[in-house]
Order: sequence, then structure tokens, then C-alpha cells
Amino acid sequence: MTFFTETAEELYENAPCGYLSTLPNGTIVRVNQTFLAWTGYTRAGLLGGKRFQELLTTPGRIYHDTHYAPLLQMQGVVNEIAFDLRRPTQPPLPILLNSRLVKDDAGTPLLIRTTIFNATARRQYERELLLARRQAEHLAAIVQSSVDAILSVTPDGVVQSWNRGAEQLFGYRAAEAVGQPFQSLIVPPDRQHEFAQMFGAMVAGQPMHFESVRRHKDGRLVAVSISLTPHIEAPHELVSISVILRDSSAAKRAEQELRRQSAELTARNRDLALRNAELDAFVYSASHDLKEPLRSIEYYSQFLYEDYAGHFDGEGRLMLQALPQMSAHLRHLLDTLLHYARLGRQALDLQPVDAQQALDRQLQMLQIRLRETGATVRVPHPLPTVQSDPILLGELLMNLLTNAIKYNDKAEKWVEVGCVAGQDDKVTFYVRDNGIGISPERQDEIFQIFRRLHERGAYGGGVGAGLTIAQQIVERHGGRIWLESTPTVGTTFYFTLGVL
Amino acid sequence: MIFAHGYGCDQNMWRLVTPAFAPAYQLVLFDLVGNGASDLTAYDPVKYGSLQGYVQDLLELCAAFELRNAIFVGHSVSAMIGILAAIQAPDYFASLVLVGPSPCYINDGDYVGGFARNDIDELLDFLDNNYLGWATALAPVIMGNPERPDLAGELSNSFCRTDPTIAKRFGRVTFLSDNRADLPLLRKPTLTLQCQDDVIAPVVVGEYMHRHLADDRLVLIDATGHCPHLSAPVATIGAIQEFLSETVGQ
Repeated sequence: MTFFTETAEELYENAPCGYLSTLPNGTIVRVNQTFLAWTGYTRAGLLGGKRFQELLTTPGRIYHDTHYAPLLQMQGVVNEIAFDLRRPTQPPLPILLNSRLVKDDAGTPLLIRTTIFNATARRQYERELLLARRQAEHLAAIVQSSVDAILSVTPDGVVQSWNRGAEQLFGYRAAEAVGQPFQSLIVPPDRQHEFAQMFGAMVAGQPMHFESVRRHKDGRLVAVSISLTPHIEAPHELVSISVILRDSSAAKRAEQELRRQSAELTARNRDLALRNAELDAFVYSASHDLKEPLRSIEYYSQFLYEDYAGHFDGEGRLMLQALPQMSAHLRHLLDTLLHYARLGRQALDLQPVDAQQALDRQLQMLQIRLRETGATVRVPHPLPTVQSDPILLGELLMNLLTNAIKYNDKAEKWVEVGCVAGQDDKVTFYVRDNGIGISPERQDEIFQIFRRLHERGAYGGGVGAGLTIAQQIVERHGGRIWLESTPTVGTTFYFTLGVL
Repeated sequence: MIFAHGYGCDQNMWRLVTPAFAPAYQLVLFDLVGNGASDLTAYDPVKYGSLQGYVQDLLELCAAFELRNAIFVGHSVSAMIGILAAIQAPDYFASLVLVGPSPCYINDGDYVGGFARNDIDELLDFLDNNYLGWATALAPVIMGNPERPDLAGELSNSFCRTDPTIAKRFGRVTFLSDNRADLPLLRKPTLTLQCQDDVIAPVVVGEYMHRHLADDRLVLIDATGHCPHLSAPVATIGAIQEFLSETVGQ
């Protein structure tokens, strides 16, 4: 067996670290070979009065004078100070050093002994750590201030972190929550099974998202959307679970409100349909049931007049004569009312209708009346095709035409039917006459049902429902009807059918 | 006598000097907020974003102790803090001792402060490598469970260790301050203690101080480095005593 003897000299010079001895003011008095090898300095270059602090970079120099030297002076020992050593032909060397202050018996500083470690790799590692830490701090700040509750729990369910959003959502401060099992903090009894159910997925590294209910510190329940993200170190090694909870009560409330309104709407619609059906039944039975006794009145009054007129005196005979007329009138009113009521409810059979053809048909039916009155109808330009209900359009035209002919006291009666370009490209029809006209203050009245501005028999009679029905038809089409009139000169009725 | 430590450490820096004055004077020593054993929760980055924050604290201290004709001893940046305080509230102070002072650390045209702007940026960067064992440097960020290493006794660097964020801010405030224009406004006698070989407050800066202060004595101390009260306490005490006997009764 051979012994390898190491001298103190060898141990010093070739140590795995640098050795440096300086006077209290920094003057280098001794340096080992390792230090020279690392830095590239020569012994002669360093031992000629050079001070250690002169080997430092500028920031190191400042730190040396403000921290290192005072610490050494006050403590006698300084450990693990990081510096950068300037080198003659290379970039500065990152080092870590320990220093000891050697004093004499009186306590006067004599010497500083410094050990120097090459910290190149370590400095790099520290830099990366610092960077990662800064990034983590940045993210942590984002997490902390988030409105959503963000927490992390151990695989056992113990709260590790608890952000401000969690404080606000659940009422526990972070200090109260960290270290506690989250099940007992915020999970209501009927939801305790959820964590166990999710655990399999967590271990498999699979994120989960679900809706649930959690509990505030004061006991009230909070509807939440929950996202769980497991953190896996090695396969199946679950380290922690991130939990994000978002208050879904606002969304839930909005959803509920929507459902409520929808239900209300459905109920109202049902109500409306019911009322319509009731109205329908009412109108039907009114007409049917009223018409029956009405027919009897007509019949009996007719019978009376024909067979028993002789039994009455002159006045009596006059009254007898009036009876059937009046009941006929009543029936006519009833029929018109029925017609009007049905009109408001029936579906429109919309289709492209050649308005000229519709007009021609009505004129055909009016032939006899036209010949009787001597009225002429002129159509300067053929009417266009319009989207409308053909039957209703015919009735509309008929009503306006008959009015135009009826309310006319001129010798030469005429009616003109045509159309003009109106607003919004809507076709505006007109029916113009040279009739008696309507004074401005009565122009609104004329659309009222059964309203006639004249005595019952005047101008050919009638129940006064023609314009009301005309308005009803126009409005069912989404259009508008209006008039221009000058008493004694004539009247023009305009109308549009909204659906072009 | 009120002693204000400078950039880097705390009131313990004065412990080799204060015994000489304890018999004759009432001594007030304090740590700047953010340093030493001060209450770090009182550190408001806005307030201490300029020297005025520290000036305000000093004036509050003077009011609390009801100082009158006090002798202010300030090291490094605290020398300037004292000057600003004495300008704003002269009644508290009789005279000022400025140890290694500098009104501006950055070279500016003809003015030699000693440093270039990027030297300061490099310093702030450098501070990231030396937390002196500050505990939160090792604390995991997200978990919130600091794992404190066991630090005990005088080897804990506590005199010069502080929150790294505060250290950086204070470094920035100190080395980017420029109070050259304030010097002529001081109307108190001053002693500028200049170290022979001080990189941080070099001789030219001491001379600049001397030229622009109204009533200044400049004393060169044969000491290396920036802290003569630590490295050359005897000379420091001597210079101060001489100044005090000269200015007493003024």
C-alpha cells in the first residue's frame, strides 16, 4: 500500500477553489494557483499592491463598499457573496466567495482570507430561476386578482391556495381557507360525492368541467360552473388540482327569467286563443240565435201586413208597413256585424292579384247600378298586380265604388280609379269622385261602424258600414286608408296594401 | 446627536463611533424605513420613491424627540437627506456632519459623479444575485407556504440584509438622485468627511460639496472604501470632535 502524502503547500495551491488573502484595505498579499488559472492573472501582476476590489466590476465594487466590507467588519465573517471577477483576456468570471476577517489579540483587523468558487453554471441556473419566479409572480398576480374563484387543492382535498375571487364568492379569507379541507368549507352535504367521483379523472390527468352548487360561509348556496385541472408530475402521480369556480347564478337567473317569460307568453297565447274561440262562438250564436227570433218577427209582421191590414185604421196600417222594413234593417245590421267580426279573424289568402281584373269584376256586378245612375267609371292606367287577398280586395273596391256613386248629386257622375307612386315604393290606389264631399271635421267619423252622416233613407240608405269594412280590409293587409275631400266638389280615397 | 446610516446597511454601522459621544450627548440612532429592523410594512414605494420620503421621516423623528440644535451625522445618501431636512426645518439642527456624501452619483457634463447611468442599471441587476439570505427569495411563490431556512445569530447578515425589492428601489432612489442645486440653500455649518479612496463618493465629489456648501470644512480621512466610521473609526471620531468644538455656540 502506498500513501499519497499531500503537503500543505500542495493543498493550498491546487485546491479545488481559489484562495486569496488581503490586508484589511484589500491589498492582495497571497493568492493560490487555482485562482490564477481561473482568472488568467499572474502572481506578479496581483501582488504588486493590487487590491481585491479593483478586480470587481463596477456594480460589484459598489456592493463591496456598501455591503461586503461593512458586513465583514461587523460580523468578522461573510459567506456566499456573488461577484463578477474581471479578467485580463476573458469576460468576467461569476464567482461566489466566503471571507473571514483575521484579528489580532487586541481585536485589530490583520488579514482577510477569502475562498472563491467558480459559480458560472450556478449563476446561470439562478438567473433562470429568477426569471421563472418573475413569470410565476406575474401569473400569480393575475390569478389573485381574478374575479373567478381560483384555488388549488392537494389530492386529499386540502386547500393550498385561495385567491381574492374565492374570498368574495365564498366569504372565507385566504388565511381561513388555506390548510382546510375544501369539502367542509364550501361543499354542501348533497354534493360531497362529487370530488370522489371526479378523482379517477384527476389521476388520469383529465380536466373536468361541470355545473354544481357550493356553499358560502354564511350558509347560502351558490350555483357555480366548475373547472378542475389536475397537475400530474409523473404518470398517475397527482400533485395538486386547480379549481376554478364561476358564479353561474346570474346566468341561471337569466335562464330562469327567460323560461318564465316564455311560459307566460305561452299562457297568454293560450288565453288569447281561448278568447278568440269564445268570441267566435259568441258571434255565431249571436247571429244564429238572434236571427231566429228576428226571422219570426219579420215573418209575423209580414203576415200581419198582408192578411190583417184591413183590420187596422190608417195609422195602424202605416205602422204595420214600417215593421217589416225595420226588422229587415235590423237583420241587415246583424249580418254586417257578423261579416265585420269574421273579417277581423279570418286568415288572409295572400297571393299576387291583378287589381285591374278585380276592378273589372266589381264593375261587372255594378253594371245595372251604373246604368241607373248614369255614372261613368274611368281608369286612366291599368291597375298593377298586388299581393293581397283577392276576395277582400274585391270587397274593398266594391265598397269604395258604391260610396262614390251613392254620395253624388251631380248630373254627370264620374268615378276615377287609379294608382300613384307613394312613399317607400308602396303602390297607392285611389278612388276619386265628383260627389258631395265630406267636411274636414267629419272625416274621422265616417270610418266608425254604422255611422252615416245622413238620414237613414238619404243617398240610397245603407247601414254605414262600408268604410268601416274597407278600413278593416286595408289594415288587415298592413296598409293605410285616408282621404282628401272638398265639400260639394268631390272626394278622393287613397289606400295602400302594406304587403307589396 | 442624530445618526443616519446610508445605503446598504443599518444603524449598527455607527457602533464603533457612537461610544465616543455617548457621555456628552444624547444619541438618536434609527434605521431608514426599509432597512435593518425597520417595519417593512411601512415601506410605501410611492412615498419612498424619492429622498423626500426619508426627509419627512427624519423631520418626524426630530419632532417626536423635540430636538433643538441637534448635530446631524449622516453617511452617504443620508448626508443629503440631512441637508434637505435642515433646509426645510433649520430649527432642529445646529450643524451637520456629512460622511462620504455625494449630491449626484452620475456624471453630468463637466460634473464628475463617478458613475454612468448604465452602471446604476447594472447595480440593480447585480442586487438580484445577492439577497444575503433574505428568506422570501427561497419561498415558493404560488403555494404561499414559505419554507424559512434556519437563520440565527450574527452570521445572518441582518445588518445589511433587507427585502430585495426594497433594496433595489432604495438603490435606484439613492443613485439616481440629484441634489446639487440644494447645496447652496443650506445655512448651517457642515463637516465633509472625505475618504482618500472612495469609489462611491470620490475626492472630486467631496471637493464639489465643499465648494457649494456655504459653511463647510473638508477633512480627508486616510481610509479605503466608503465607510470610514467602520474602517477608520478613530480618525472619524477625531475629525467630528474637532468640528464640534469649533462650531459649538454657533
